[in-house]
Amino acid sequence: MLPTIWMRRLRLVTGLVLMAFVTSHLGLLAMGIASLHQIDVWYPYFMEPWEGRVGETLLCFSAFVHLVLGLQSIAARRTLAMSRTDAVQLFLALLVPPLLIGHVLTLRITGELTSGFEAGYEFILSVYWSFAPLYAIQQLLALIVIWAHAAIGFYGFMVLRPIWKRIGGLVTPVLFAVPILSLLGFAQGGKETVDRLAADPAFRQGIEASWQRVGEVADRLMRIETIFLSIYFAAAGLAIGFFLFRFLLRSRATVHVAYDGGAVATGPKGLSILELSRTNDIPHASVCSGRGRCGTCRVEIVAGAERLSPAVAIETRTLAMVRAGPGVRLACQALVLGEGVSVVRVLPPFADASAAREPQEWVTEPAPVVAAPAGLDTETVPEAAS
Amino acid sequence: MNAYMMHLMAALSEAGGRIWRLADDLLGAPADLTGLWHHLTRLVDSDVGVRGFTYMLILLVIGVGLEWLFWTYALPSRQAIEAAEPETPRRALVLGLQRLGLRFAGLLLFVGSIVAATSGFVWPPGIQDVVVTLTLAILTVRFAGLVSDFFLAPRTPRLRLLRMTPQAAKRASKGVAAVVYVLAAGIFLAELVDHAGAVHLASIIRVAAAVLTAVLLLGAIAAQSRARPRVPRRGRRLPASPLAFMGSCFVLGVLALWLIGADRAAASLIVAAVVVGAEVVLRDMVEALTRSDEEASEDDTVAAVVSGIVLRLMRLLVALVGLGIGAVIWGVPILAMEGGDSMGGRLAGRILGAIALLLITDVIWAAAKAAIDTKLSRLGPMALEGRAGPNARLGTLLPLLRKGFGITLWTLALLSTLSILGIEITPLLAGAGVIGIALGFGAQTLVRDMLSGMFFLIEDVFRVGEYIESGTNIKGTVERITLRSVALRHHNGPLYFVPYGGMGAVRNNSRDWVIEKFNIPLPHTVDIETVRKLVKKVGQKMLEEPELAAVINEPLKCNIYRIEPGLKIFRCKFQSLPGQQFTVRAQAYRRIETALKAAGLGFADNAQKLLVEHQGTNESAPETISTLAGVPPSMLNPGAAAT
Ligand code: FES
Repeated sequence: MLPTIWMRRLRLVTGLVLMAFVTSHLGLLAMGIASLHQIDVWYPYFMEPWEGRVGETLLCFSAFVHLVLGLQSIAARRTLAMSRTDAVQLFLALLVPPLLIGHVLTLRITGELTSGFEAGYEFILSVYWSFAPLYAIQQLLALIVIWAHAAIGFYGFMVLRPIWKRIGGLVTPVLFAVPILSLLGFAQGGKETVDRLAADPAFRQGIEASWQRVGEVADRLMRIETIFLSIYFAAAGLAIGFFLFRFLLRSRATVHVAYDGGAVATGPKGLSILELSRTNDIPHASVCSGRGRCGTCRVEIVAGAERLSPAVAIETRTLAMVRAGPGVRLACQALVLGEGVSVVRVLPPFADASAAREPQEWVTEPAPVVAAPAGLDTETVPEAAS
Repeated sequence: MNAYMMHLMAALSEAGGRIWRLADDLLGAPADLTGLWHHLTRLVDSDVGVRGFTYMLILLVIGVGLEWLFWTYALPSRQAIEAAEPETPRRALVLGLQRLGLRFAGLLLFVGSIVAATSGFVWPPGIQDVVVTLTLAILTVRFAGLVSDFFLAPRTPRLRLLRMTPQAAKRASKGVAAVVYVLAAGIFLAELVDHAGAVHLASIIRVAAAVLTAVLLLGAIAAQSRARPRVPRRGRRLPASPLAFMGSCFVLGVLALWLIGADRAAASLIVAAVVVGAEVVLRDMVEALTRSDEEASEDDTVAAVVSGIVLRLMRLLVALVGLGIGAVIWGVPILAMEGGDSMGGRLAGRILGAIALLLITDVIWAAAKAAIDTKLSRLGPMALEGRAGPNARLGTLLPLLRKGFGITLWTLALLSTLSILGIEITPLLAGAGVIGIALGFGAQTLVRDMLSGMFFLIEDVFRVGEYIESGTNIKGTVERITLRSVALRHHNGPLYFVPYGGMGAVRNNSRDWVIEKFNIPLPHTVDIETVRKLVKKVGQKMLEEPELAAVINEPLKCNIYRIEPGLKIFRCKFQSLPGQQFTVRAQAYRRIETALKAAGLGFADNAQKLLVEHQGTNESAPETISTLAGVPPSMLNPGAAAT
């Protein structure tokens, strides 16, 4: 199996590819605000790259790999304790394939199954607005779900980059403008299509002919869809089942972790320190929500370092990036394997993404020495402290 | 009697009708459901449905986007608040309020942007109502969540305002969320369904939501009574079981009332229960806030004052809001209450006014009392080392003031309440005036005593602990000051009660300083200057002793006062603090005696006088007698020895 760091990178890259495709797809749809004609005009620029052999292969590969790796990450989860954004992203991800499969199959496979089928924006808008509006609802849901999933992932990835400081103000509005504009384009284009269907019988006939073709192969399409969905649900069920299996069978031993400020977290053995913080409601900075990329969750290990899982590649890389000293670990990566671990959170709980972008700005002076230095008169210590 | 019977019958038949209607609804609901389903599918399966859905999604993206943008800036502050370790509950309250404000701002942005964007679209018919209802539902549910989080804070124990364990808080917040969701479904879903024309189904949804809410509340009560600690808590007289039983009965009663169509009665009962609950919760909170504040800073009694006022203000607010809601429920026009024509409405308005007035009076009274009490507790001891302290007058006046203020305030409030309730108080006042005159004649001395007493106190003639002498020659230390008389403790023990009216000129022996003078007779042979210096030295010596120096204002001095045959009488004087002169004088005598002895001098004695009387008859007698007196003759009578 690939090392985790590579799996993560692959998931990220394939996700970015898919997002690029979705963006150009939706961008083209947004042209519908101007007119249907504009969609035709811009089609080559937006969609053609994805329809060549390279583009198509890349897309299929990315979709497959992203899906598999996503399911793998579910199976590899240790607990359900995660940030709310993460939970939303995960939930949305599970919804994507069932919502999307009909759309993809209709447009990609119908042409292969029967001749004389031309899948264009006019056709699909006619179907959605006039022939089978129920599909439109499904498609709209898919749009929102996919975009939300993508935007969360993209934001979480980009916000940690130093470049975000310069482009963030520009990119965030785009993240919201894309779905809004494409939805508006969808509505506008739909209106235009409905009007044209009523006014232009020739156009209507052409669309109806295509729709007829789809109707002819509907059975086969349905069968393919069923097969795909069964495989998907089986895989997803397997991943979730695997997670549940591990979750239920995990060691019943509980461990305790002591934090600075006197807090103590209790939880099952084998969770990461950050997961223990979350399940115990202990405030803990985690900008990348435990992906090991931001370094904001890092802790200084005061005691029990040998009872933590050894650092893996992701962790050492991130620690080096934030220039952490010795004895510092990432709370999201270090698993607690035994009692007696005591940590000091390096960053305050409200550290934001800037702490990952500019680590040196946030580094505080070393933690105060708790024990009295040798050679000091014991009686003067309290006074000196006060 | 007949009218009441009629009313009752009408109500009963109304309730019966309502029950039958419920049965109707139940029978009609399935048909409604299929009708609604057809309606929905038809709507969704058309370009109208697609358009509406598209627009709704756009609104959702706009709302979520703006709120997300808000949180990218506000999240660090929120996290900082949630991670803070407030030292006092008051600080925790402030932090909790800040968090609530932040979250509320986010919610407002979400809902506001959605509402604002709604107007930007041309909606297909019938969709906009759905959007508005859905937005309202989201607003309601999220707002309820914010408020419940503000009080319970299940994930941030430091910000929790109610005293409960984390588990209990988590359970409670889940319960609240469940109730809120059920109620929201009962209100908004039913409205949507109603809107689509499925009246029976809407009614059934409402009933189901009400029953489910009641079941949830009953479950909560049961869980609560099981979780209640066995040890009875202080201040709760009722043991757990009756409370739980009564609560269950209440829930079921309200449900039954609602089911038979007595909506107003049910709503009023709910409002009353909420008001009582809010009162209990608020008292608990304010109590917690004050208690720990006292621990934090001993003398910060301002906190106590503030908490008393805050508690009453909150109580006032809660009661007023509850009453207002009650008025709305019963359709009483609040603003036009006086002009209302219905007898019940007028009466209700008046009762509301009276209660409000009494609550406001209570607030004022609490504020004044707390202020005076604080001042009193800050005064410190009334008397310092037997002297009346500088605060003694305040110590006597403040309780009088408090009593007087209380009597006036409550009398006024009572009279006003009577007048609000429609009872004419003019004859009452007139009657009081007549009686007042009659009483005034009879109680002239009483009034005189009280009035002159007031002036005695205002002019600061005496304070508790001072030694005074009244014009009627009654002496004593002031022990107690009342409205009519002063109690003086004579130094021998008896206690005099002197009415102020008869006190006349008062001699206050305890003010500022006293001058004490006393004589010392010395034989006429002593040298005036020697004695003066000797005594002056004694005076300086006394100043060197700290205890004496503290009470002596001007040191002891003496000078020749009179010369009598055979005697020189010196007069000594010093100034000291009042009440201390006797000790100082005794000390002075003792020291002068010692000093005289050391200088070989002594006090004059009567023996010399004897000598003077018998001078003519016997020459040798003086020697004999002076020897008897123990004084060398040469010292006593150097002149005689020379002769
Ligand atoms: S949470 Fe980002 S590195 Fe651990």
